[in-house]
Formats: sequence, C-alpha cells, structure tokens
Amino acid sequence: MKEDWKPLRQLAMVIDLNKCIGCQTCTVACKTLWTDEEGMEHMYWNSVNTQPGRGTPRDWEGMGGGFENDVPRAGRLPSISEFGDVPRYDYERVFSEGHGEKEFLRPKKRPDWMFNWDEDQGAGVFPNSYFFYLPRLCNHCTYPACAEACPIKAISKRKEDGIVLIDQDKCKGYRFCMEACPYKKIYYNYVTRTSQKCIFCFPRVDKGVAQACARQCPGRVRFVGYLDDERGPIHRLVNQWKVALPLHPEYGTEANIYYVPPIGPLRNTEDGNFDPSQPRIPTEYLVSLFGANVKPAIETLQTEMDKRRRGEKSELLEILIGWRWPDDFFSHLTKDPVEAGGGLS
Amino acid sequence: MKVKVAKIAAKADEALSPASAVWGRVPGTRVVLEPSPLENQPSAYVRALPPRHGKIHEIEVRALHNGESLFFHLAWTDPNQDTTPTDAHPFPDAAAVMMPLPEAAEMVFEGDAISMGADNIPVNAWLWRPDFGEQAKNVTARGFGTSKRSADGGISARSEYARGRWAVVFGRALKPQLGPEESAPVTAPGKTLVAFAVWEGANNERAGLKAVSPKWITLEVAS
Repeated sequence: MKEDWKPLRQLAMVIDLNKCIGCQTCTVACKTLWTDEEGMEHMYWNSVNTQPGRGTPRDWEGMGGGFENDVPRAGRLPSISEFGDVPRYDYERVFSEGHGEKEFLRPKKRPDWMFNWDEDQGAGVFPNSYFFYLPRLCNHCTYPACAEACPIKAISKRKEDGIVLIDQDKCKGYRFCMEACPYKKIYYNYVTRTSQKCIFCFPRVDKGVAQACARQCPGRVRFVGYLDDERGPIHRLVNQWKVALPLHPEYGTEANIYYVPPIGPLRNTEDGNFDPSQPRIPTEYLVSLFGANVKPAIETLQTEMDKRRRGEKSELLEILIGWRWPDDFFSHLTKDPVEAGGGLS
Repeated sequence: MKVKVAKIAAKADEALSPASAVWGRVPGTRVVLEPSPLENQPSAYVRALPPRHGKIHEIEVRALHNGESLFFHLAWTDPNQDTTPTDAHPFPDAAAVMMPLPEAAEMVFEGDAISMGADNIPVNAWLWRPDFGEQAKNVTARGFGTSKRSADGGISARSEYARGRWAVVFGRALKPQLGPEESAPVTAPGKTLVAFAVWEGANNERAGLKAVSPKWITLEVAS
C-alpha cells in the first residue's frame, strides 16, 4: 500500500531556480563522487538541463511511470543513447602514436545526442527568448513508484529520513523500477547488471554532511533539511511560504525535491523598453512543470521582491538569499566532509 | 502429459552439447507455453502492466540420463538472440526447468506449476541465461515472488543459437550436491514432476513476465 512507504521524517531539498546558473558543478560533484566506474559512464544521478528542452533522458516526460489515481502507470525503459551517447576518444593515437600534429582529439563516433545536448536553446523569439536551468536528481518520493514496482523488494525507503535506496546485493536487474520511475532517474549498470540511482549522499548525511550537489554549488541554490523542521529553510519555503514546489506533482509520487520557480527577466518591447505587462517565461509553461500552485508562488515571490525594492524587510528573501553559509542552507547537515571523516568527498 | 527420460550411456560432455548426435536418439515432446498470469504478481506495477509477454508459444523438450546425471534439452524458435545486456533493453533470453522439492512431492500432483510452488510446496528451478556462462543458477521458491537464487547447485548449461532457434542443455547429477531444501533429487527409475519457462528478452521479458507450461508434467525416468 502507498501509505506504508511514509517515513517518520523526510529529508528534502529545495532548489532555487532563480539562482541556478547552469554551471554543472553539482553534476560533476556527483559524477566524481559516485558514478566514475565502468558501467556508469552514462549516469548522471544529478543532471542540469535547459528548460524548455528535451531533458535527460531525451523526452523523459513522455516515458510514463508514476501513479494515475493511485494506480501504477506503465512506463518505458530509457536507453543509454536517450540518456546521451558517451563518446570514446582515441587518446592513444593522438597522444602516444605520433599523430598529434595531423589529427586532433575527437569522438570516434559522431554523437547525435548527448547529456545537455540542447543547452541554452530554450524557447521564445528575440527579444523575448527565454530559458532557465533545471537541476534534477532522484526525488526520494514519499510514495516511491520504483520501490512499489520491484517484485523482489530490493528498494527500500529509510524510515528515519525517507532516503530511497536500491540494495545492490538484492537487485537482479529486472528494471521495473526504471519503468515505474516517472522522473526517469534510475539507470542500468551493464557491468554490475543492477539498477542504480542517486543515494542522496546517505553516507555523508549519516555523518552530518550535506549532499555533494548541494554543498559544492557555487550559486548556493540548494537548501537541505527535514520537511517538518519548522525552523529550517525547507519547511519555511515549502510549507510556510509555499514558494517551493515539486516537479510534475501529477505523477502522484510526492516528490521531495522542491523548486522555487524562475521569475525570469522582464520582457522587452521592440524599441528596447521594458514590458512588465506579462512575464517573459510563460506562466502556462511553469504550470505544466510545477502545477497550478506555481501561480500563487510567483505572486508571493514578486510581492516580497517588491517589498525589498521599496526598502522594506522580507523574511522570505532573507531565507532565499541565505547570508550565512552553510548554516542558513543545510539545517543539521553543516559539517565539513573532511572533518567528518574520509571517503566523503 | 509426460516427458520420458531415456537411459543412454552418453558422456556428460556429449550430452551437454546441444547439437550432439545423442539427442537425435531421444524423441522430443512438444510443450505448449502460456503467458504467466500477472494477477498474483507481488508488484502492483507488474500487475497493472498491459499483458504483452509470453512471446514464446512452445518448446521442444528432450531428456536423458546416463545413470549419474540428468540432462534436459530445450529448443525453441526465437528470432532474436539476446545475450549479454549492454543497455537497459533488451533483456537476455532465459529458460528454466522446475521440479518440486521432496517436501512438496505429495502435494503438487494435482496443483498447477504456474505459481512456482506455495508456502508448503517448495520448488527447485534451474535457470539458464546466455550471460551466466556454462553454469545455470539454482533457484528455490515457495510461491509467487519468493524465488531465491542459491549457491552453486552444480548445474551445467550449454546453449547454441542457430537459424533462429535456441537449443539449451541443462545437466545435473541425479543426486544433487545441495541438500533436499535447495535441490530436487531425481531417482532412476522414478517419477517426478517438471515444468518449463522461457523468457524472450527482446520483448522485455524477465522475472514474472515469461511464458510457462502451466500444469505440472510427469517426468518418467527410465531405469
């Protein structure tokens, strides 16, 4: 039953899309820490894609999974080429066999789709084209469709913090989880022949260290903490101010990665003046991603930003800016990975 | 329905070879397979899937023993040879032979094989997959969703794919190296039950998505 999955407390993340610059430092922090082995080349447990765009894996929003009226919805398996080709380079030939003067390093096979292939393309027409960056990782859902789907119960959700994990000793590589995950954030490792995904950096969390993607973020766009911690940024942004929303709430899994929707720059008129009459990023587009609650969320954000422009105080903007790092960002997970012990960074 | 296990003085290596002439001396039995039912699957997701599995409709089964070991020769038509997985899709093809464990022996004669046993009906299966190499896995189960792959059960398996057809031979000592909780002993002469399953990897068949012989088949072992 769906309710059986509910943890005692849920560790969650808020990502402020207004601050994300698409630098992929989170992606690389994750990649170097967790997915740098053979069989994992195509894995980006954390990915950042330009929106509007086809995402990772390509067109993942049309691949099914999740729940419809609480009934599991069939999904399909994304292939490695849909996640993005992993180009191989002839390092030997160029660097060691004396061809470096005549040939340059390039993929052995010309890729036709790769991770982040449509970066910065976005949508709209000059002078009002628009895009923003959307970092994605496993949503550690309150009702994990992946865990529901596994016939051998190899996926668990930790009672103490709701982190969803695939037991690599139990997993037989049946990949029903990959089909059932509506966010398409589970990958097949063809070397271990198991399914793998973001582990929410649980070995760091267990030692009081924030996730690598969150701690390494130069833009400080990510907040971490328990959803029910009334003094923490997560509860205040999600439940009190209601400006942080899950991606595709209609998937029915209650995702626990929340996003502060992007406001975007002002529109321009043909003659170069500002046009504040409508938003640069169409509201309908944001509704298609974050649901109808995105409208009041944007109104709240704009009201609070206006307050600050008038020189008034805004508690919400104080939280979103976060003056003290890491304390204002990571709740109880503020330890430095080196101080907390080896192997975490 | 019956599958007869002839006694033939074949060497293990000979019997394990799917194309060996020794198999020409054993009459084949056509076994009709059905898609496994999904309603009893342990996963709600799998139960809700549109039924598109069970692509393999029949297999040809041969069996022999040489006084020491028991061999099954399974052959079926499959236009896609799916071997070692290199991507999320396709899955490797697979085949299994299942027999009741001694604890279950008297209880299963009337029952069907489709559930892979029950609480009080433990079963033993030999599972071949092209990516397992020349060793089949020893599986035990007590009903839907309970299958466990146990330690090396001394089951050899060799396969050949030619002209759109798989031929797989399983071989194991009549008296298995594992105990009666894990491995079904077979006596010659004697009688037990057997069932078969085949997975078509190209059709994403794996785990409970398979084609099975729904009823137990009598396995008659010659002296």
